[in-house]
Amino acid sequence: MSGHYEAPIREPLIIGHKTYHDISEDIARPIEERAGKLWWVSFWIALTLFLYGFGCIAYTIGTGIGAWGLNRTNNWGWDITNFVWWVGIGHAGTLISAVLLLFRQRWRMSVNRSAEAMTIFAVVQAAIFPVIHMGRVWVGYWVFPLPNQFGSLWTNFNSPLLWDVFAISTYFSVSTVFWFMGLIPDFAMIRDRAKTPWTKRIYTFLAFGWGGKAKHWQRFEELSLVLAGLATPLVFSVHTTVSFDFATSVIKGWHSTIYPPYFVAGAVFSGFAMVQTLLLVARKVCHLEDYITMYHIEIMNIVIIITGGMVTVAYGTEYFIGWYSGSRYEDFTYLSPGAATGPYWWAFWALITCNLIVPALFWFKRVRTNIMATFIIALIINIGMWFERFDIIVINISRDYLPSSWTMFKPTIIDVGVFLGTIGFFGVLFLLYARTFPVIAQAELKTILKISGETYKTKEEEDEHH
Amino acid sequence: MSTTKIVFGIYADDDDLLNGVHAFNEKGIAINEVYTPFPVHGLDKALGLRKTRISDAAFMYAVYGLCIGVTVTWYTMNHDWAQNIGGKPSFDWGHNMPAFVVPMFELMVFCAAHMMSLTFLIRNKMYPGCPPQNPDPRTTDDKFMMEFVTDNVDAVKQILIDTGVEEINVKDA
Amino acid sequence: MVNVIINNKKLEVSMASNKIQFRSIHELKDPSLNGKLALKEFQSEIPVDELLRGDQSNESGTSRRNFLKLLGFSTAAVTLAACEAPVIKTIPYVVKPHEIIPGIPNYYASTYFDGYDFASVLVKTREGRPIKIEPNPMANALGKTNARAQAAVLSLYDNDKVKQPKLNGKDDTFDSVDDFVLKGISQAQAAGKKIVVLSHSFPSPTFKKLFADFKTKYPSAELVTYDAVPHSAALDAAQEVFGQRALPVYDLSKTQLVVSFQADFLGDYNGASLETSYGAARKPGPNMLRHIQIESNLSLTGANADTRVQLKPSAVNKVLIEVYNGLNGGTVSKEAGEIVKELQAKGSNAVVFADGSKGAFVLAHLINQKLASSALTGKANFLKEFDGAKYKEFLGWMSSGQVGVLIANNVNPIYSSNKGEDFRKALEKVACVVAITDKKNEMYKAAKAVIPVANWLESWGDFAPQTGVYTLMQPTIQKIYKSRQIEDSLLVWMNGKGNPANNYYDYLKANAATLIGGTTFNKALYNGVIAGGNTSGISYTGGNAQQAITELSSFKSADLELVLYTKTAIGDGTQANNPWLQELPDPITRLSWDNYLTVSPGDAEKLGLNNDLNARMQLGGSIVNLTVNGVTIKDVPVFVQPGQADGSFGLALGYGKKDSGKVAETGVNAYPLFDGSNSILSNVKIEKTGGDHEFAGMQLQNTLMGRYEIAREVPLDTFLNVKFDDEKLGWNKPLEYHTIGGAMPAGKIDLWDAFDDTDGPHFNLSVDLNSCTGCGACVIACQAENNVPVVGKEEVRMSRDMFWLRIDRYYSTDIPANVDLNKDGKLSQEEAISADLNVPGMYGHFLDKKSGILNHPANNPDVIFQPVMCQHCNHAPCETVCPVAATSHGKQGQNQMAYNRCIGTRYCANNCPYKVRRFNWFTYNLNDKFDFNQNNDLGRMVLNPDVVVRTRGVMEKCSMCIQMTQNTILEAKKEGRTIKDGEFTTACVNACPTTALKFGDMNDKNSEIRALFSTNRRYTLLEEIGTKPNVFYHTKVRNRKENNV
Repeated sequence: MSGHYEAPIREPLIIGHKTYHDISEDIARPIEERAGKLWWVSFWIALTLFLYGFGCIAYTIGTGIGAWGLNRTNNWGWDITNFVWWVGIGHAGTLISAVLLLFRQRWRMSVNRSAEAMTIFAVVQAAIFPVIHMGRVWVGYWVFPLPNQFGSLWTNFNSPLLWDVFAISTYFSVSTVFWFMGLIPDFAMIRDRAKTPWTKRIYTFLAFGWGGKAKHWQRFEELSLVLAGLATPLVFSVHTTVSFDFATSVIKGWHSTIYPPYFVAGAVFSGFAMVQTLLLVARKVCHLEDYITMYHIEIMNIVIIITGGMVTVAYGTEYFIGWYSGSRYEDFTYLSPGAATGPYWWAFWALITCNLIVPALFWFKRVRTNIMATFIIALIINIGMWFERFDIIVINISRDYLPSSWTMFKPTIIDVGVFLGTIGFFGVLFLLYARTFPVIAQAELKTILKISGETYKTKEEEDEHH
Repeated sequence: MSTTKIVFGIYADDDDLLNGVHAFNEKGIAINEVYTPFPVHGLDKALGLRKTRISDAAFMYAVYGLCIGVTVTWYTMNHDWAQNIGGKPSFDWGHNMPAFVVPMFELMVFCAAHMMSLTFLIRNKMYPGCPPQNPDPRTTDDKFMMEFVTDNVDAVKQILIDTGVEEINVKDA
Repeated sequence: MVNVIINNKKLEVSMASNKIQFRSIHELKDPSLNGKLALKEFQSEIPVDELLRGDQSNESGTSRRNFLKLLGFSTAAVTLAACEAPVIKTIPYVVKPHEIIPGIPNYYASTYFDGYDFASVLVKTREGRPIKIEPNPMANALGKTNARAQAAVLSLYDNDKVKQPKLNGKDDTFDSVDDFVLKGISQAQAAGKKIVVLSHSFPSPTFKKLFADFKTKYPSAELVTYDAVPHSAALDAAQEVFGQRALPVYDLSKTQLVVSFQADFLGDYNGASLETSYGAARKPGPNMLRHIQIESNLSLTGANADTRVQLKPSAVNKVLIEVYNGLNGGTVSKEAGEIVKELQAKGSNAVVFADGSKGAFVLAHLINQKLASSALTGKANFLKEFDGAKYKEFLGWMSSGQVGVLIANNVNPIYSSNKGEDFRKALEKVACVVAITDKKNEMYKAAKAVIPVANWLESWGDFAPQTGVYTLMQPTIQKIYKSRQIEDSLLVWMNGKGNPANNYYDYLKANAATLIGGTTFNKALYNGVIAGGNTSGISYTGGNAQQAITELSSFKSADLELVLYTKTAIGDGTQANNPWLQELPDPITRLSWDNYLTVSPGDAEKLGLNNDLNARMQLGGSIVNLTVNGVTIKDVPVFVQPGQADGSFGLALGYGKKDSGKVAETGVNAYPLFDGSNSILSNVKIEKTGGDHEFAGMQLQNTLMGRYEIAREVPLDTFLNVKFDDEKLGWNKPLEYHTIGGAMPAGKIDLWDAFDDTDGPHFNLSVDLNSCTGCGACVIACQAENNVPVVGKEEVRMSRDMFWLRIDRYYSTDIPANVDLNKDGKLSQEEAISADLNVPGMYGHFLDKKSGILNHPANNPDVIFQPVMCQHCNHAPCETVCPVAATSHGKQGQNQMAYNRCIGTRYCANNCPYKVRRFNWFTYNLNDKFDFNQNNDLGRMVLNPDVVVRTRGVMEKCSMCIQMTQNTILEAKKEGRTIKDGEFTTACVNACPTTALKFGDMNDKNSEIRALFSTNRRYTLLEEIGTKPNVFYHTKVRNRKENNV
């Protein structure tokens, strides 16, 4: 089976002597069993946060954006910080499933499903903020170029914010489609095992009648390939566009050509951190240790090291250009120690610590192959990336060109509530997903069982000995 | 009365399945359909399926999306109601175009991805709630099934057995 | 006839007649049907029941279908509610007054006088409502409006006014009040008691004549003047030097040197501001006016000085004495000697002002006499009439029970004097106390009878403000409440009720005829101001220097001395209940809604007082109890003021009014310290109490952080002798970029083809930093013209002020000796870094020296004012980023804002380098959380119908008063003529008393604005960003040799 050969030195991607049927069993188990205590606890916590956040949003829309800590100089604060943060988190999913598919990285198969789910849920959170940060949400639909009774009243395609509208909505819908198409064969698998009539009905609905015909498989693989090909430039374009919100402005510290690559790198950085955080939990809760192996965890940590490095370089470049530009305003933002010693020093150092110093620990194999360490560092990176966005937005506009308008931003309880709310919402979605969706692309996984499954690897080795 | 019957041969292993396919090709017996739980490599070649043109369609969709992008930006920004927005040249689309790259690209991707997926579903005759297209539920788990529509049932059975089939069902057409 | 089409139904609204149109026979049968239909048109409540009944009305209870319906409906209803617009009924004229054309403003010349401020003004009315005060160009200096005059129109619509005559605390009619007063008068006469009219200064010839008639009727009648801020020292000095109780009128336009001791002559020193002639004399050139200010507080005037010496009051007096002696050949100290030299050099082109005690005024007058200063016009200013002796005498009568009737005309000594309590007690001895007042204040409470004051916009009157000037006051609106001006009351009490002669208009007309010479009354009324009135001038008659010097030296120097002052916005507190004025930030401290003890940084450190900034950069300050001569004022907040002389404090009068409306309550009342003559007090004690006062500050960063190109200034010598674009020393070098084609002026480099703006007007606004004194008149004018809401102390503290036009104020910083400065003599950030001066702190507070040299204002800082409004950039960063194109560029150069297209992403405001965009964080009208003028029907009458009131969630900003420029264009169109230069104008430009702001059409080849554009002082704010603004600035010129003194 030449097609099935893989160098034996490679660690198996699937541990334990699995058969095709075992895979089906393992993947379907979380769906068919009842939820454990752990799941329910986390679900109720998430739901509470979600509802609290929802209340805060309602209050904001009811009274006005003044409910937040913004002012005439800092017209954006946590709202856009959270937006950029969530979008960034989304990136890893698409990256894993699309880019790694193009690069034929087999290790992705165990994690891409959940990563994509995370992407979609994160983008949902992200999408909340541009909407509620509007002073007049109820006319928010004006951002679409709709024919209207006012006559020639169109959107402004020069505006990076409008670019965002297109980028985010495309990104969201395309990744959803990509994800769902991948799910169809797995839904079919669950449908065909389903015992109770209701589950049968539901999964029949979701499976679209998939039967696994040869021609369909051929089309299916073509589709995944092309969608991956489309999603790859998309994932880069999205955060590039988000970075344009700042890069194309005239505000010093925002107006910076390095932003697109810097933002994308940052996004992948935070995205993978979030994938780690979630998978390590899912792995435990859904008993998927055999599929999400230490090898997966380590390789993702390596991605984190690389992207983290890129981000570090970006910081350096920003500072260098700040000095090199000779503009006293740029100079002021970066070189004067204000950022590091001013009242926002904590945000600045939080950023440096969480994004530069702590992730450097991953250079040690012992750290990056340690589950607990990985989990903690991943969390820290997420915090760090949030602070990065906070620093970019708040520190820069709180001190812009005319000193007379200098002032500062401090969140109100409502700001905090909205943010927690989105975290809760994200949790709710992800937990429901973990209970009802095949969290691993089993169909894909079965194709590599013979190549990278433990059973077959060992068999091959024996063959060679005789 | 017709002797035409439908034969299902169910394999437990994808390699055996492939052997089977090759055997039938040698004998020149047409295989009606093959159901597998996952894409078996080389199967489409073995069955001599033509390369799918779904990706070519995707390209057309992309072009279509791009056209929409160009039209919308030109019509709204330069034709219907051109404004002086921050001094950006809105005299004609060519001058203004750099500002429209992002939305045009997004529309392109949007159309390509969605319309391609739709095509996929339509060509496969799949839709929400469509009844399972696989005759045997096990084929989405770990079984590989060949479907024949043939008068010469015995020959088919024989070859199936030779290629290590696990189970054979025969039905009237 | 106007056809209004609503819901495809045509209502015919008849404007000019009262005939009713019927559309159908049914309406004819039932005329009310029309109304019913009309009601249906605007059905506001959501008809849930009807909907639920729907097709199966026979069904009882809520079926599943109905439930689902309701579910769907409620969702829809919420959406609808969000975009539902309120329907306001308008009532057309039944019979239209011939002079009123709806939509067209009428202007009436009148006189603004509220007992404190005086100005000859034009009142703009729309549909019979005064909505704006404009200067009266015919009245020159007297026709200029300051912030208070601009805001006066809002005081007319004050909802906290007394709205009803009252008798013994109950609402009553004029009739019974008159009976009560007449009874009181007859009793007083019977008892041989005095009938006293206690009024603020009232320089009205006709009122005087009226009172004379009143006195002939009632011989025991007395007219006593009482002013909260009476200028009595000045008047006493005038009495001594000029032999009459009138202040000299100054004209600085030819003057080349002003030396001012404590005198805030750009404020209300001398009763009327000298801004106009000061501004004229400050035009840069060889003979530019040089201004030396010796003072304790950093006053608005001091902030404009070329050389400012800060000394505590006692020291200021010493210098004044020395200067006097110096000029008369005595020996003097060094700095006094320099002043003497300069004075002698300029001779009659110099003038000296002094404030404080009588002695100071006397010396100043004598110095001017010595110099034969040409600044004295020989004219007299009659605006202030207080006579301390007379008032004292009156208090004597009252306490000894000789006063039978007291008619208090809009004065409140209980609040505004240090003897308030005594006054209240004395009042009890008066049988009949009549308070003519506009507020439910202490006098209102103490009086038996109350007559609401008719606002000056509701009254007739005439004034002789200064020699040879006669102005008229005419009502521009029917009396809003049952109010009556004192003249009408006096007439009634004089002639008895129901007498046909009880009409002040006739009385005024008759008397005016004797004062206006040839011209007709209507002509005079039309102009508002004409020659006439009191023609007596003023000239030196004496003056005892020695006495003055002894008096000055007798002022005991103490460790801590206090200078009471009046603020630019609030003045003596007459308009303290005016939210516009309360929110107008003080030009120096940039704090609104407060008065406070200004303390020098040095003293603050010594006394352990401090200001600090919190995480929102909001200012907090220590609180102290202030004690002067046994009188204590509790809980005075402390503001650390750079430029405050060590050993001196400042405290503003006119705040802390408890019974004059919610708005006026803010701050502490300093009047208890003020004996009416001495605004400078010695032996001051303070004791720090706990607690931290929350200030509402507009600007918390006080220095330019080395960004001197933002607000530019240049010493006069450099300006005169160095070319502005000189290679090395150029003081206003045009910005150049080095491109592949060599150096290019920034303006020429452009990525895009420019739009054609050559046909039609293209507006530019010019701001001259040299003439801007920071008086704030433009800010209020803008607020009045454009319906800018008041947001209140808390929101200002949140840095959410709504000003479309703000006046930034920057302090200079100290420059350490060890730095070698570049040519502009300013310490730049780079230099600070390279000189390793504990680096420019980015965030530190100015009190904290460690926070960086650039951040720390000099102890005696130069001050520069910079008005900043929307710069109307041709390459506007705000426009490109708006997703819905709510803001775009007009052909005339305006950066336009379509409020009802705005969805409120606030991206534009972030991307504005000038931070001039303002967001409606909340609903500021009809919202009890913002209970200011826009929250009551009366207050909303001031709104300008030409400008929309913005809703919650939209961005707003300066529109270059597009409603005014468009109006000019339409007028010209109607008359089929081209527009003359100077016709285009904006609210701020109109209001500016020093012509620092100029507006015009750049496409008009020989317009003034074009000339201004090509002057060498012109520069563009933040030019390097390439926004190409339509607003440009002119460099300030400091009339002195060195950069820093």
